[in-house]
Amino acid sequence: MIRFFSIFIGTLALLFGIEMLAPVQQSVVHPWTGFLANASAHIMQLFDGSIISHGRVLQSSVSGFGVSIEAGCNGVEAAIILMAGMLAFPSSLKLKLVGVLVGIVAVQGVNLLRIISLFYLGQWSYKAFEFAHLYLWQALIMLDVLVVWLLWIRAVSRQTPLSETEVPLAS
Amino acid sequence: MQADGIGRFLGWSLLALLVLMVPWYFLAEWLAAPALELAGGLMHFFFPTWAEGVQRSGTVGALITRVGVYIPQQGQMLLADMTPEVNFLKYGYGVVLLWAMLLASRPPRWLLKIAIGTLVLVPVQAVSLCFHWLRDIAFQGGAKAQMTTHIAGWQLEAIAFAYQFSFLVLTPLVPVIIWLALDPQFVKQLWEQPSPHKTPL
Repeated sequence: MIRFFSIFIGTLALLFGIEMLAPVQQSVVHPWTGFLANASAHIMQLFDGSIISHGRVLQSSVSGFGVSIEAGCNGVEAAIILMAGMLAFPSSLKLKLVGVLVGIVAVQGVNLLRIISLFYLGQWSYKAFEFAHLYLWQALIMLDVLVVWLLWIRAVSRQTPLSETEVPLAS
Repeated sequence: MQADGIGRFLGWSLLALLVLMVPWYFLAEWLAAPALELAGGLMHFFFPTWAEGVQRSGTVGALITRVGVYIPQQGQMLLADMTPEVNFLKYGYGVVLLWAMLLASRPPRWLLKIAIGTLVLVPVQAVSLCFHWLRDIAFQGGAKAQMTTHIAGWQLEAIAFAYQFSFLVLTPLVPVIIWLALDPQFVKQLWEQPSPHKTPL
């Protein structure tokens, strides 16, 4: 357990530090956040033609209400936590890579749901938006990360021969 | 653990999270008190020359300081002491996540573990509150504040990193780490459950 948490915290701090670097923000995080706004707008346009996106902003052309997707709302930190958890857990490189790729898709899928739900919640009630944005969805995204990680551990355990089935977090 | 163990855990966690968020929101004033008081104490301990303590109002804590800043008022620049505020709720929602996960996995002595987990979270919340105040003082205080705090150079970078790390990562993550520590059997059972692909060598 100590080995797992040491690698996990070290990897987490390193990945988060890299994410915070200005060139990484400029070339990866900001374009990714813009892509999320665009993807959310495309999904919402399936049932609401008034939605437009520009940069990191999602807006209703009818009501004028808009939200800007900022750090903490783009799912990058959640993805980093998931990656650190998978990289620290003993498994083959192939299983780690598959886990990271599938896991990021799963986390970002739920994050799109968060963005869309918050956009409509904000138009209904600003107080409800604040509550869901700052507390409820933060916890839900972390729960999503945990469940994806647990599903991945179960998949890893099924690929691991009995002779190697020492429980990595039990000691 | 049965095959649907994770699904059941997710379902119960979601339900408990949604249900418990409401009482947490209304009880937060009492939950905030120990974290805010500890944070105020930590600030005074580490910065005795300018951090005096905390003044609580509901879930909001204002750090009482002797850090002077100029503020414009009626065309004049007045000198005042900074009192940066932080809302505990921004760093306190993790306790609901912890309660929800423990209720969903129901380890032995789960009520005791809920109490232990809630207590263990307090110092983590307090440290996050401290970095929130430090960020406000370091980045909003200007040159006049810097003359009192002497925060400069790499310390500014460290405060910015620690604030972002505590707000975006530690606050949601630490409840999960505490849950893993309080209920290691959950992952153990997940790892050891029988699988058709698992063959002895």
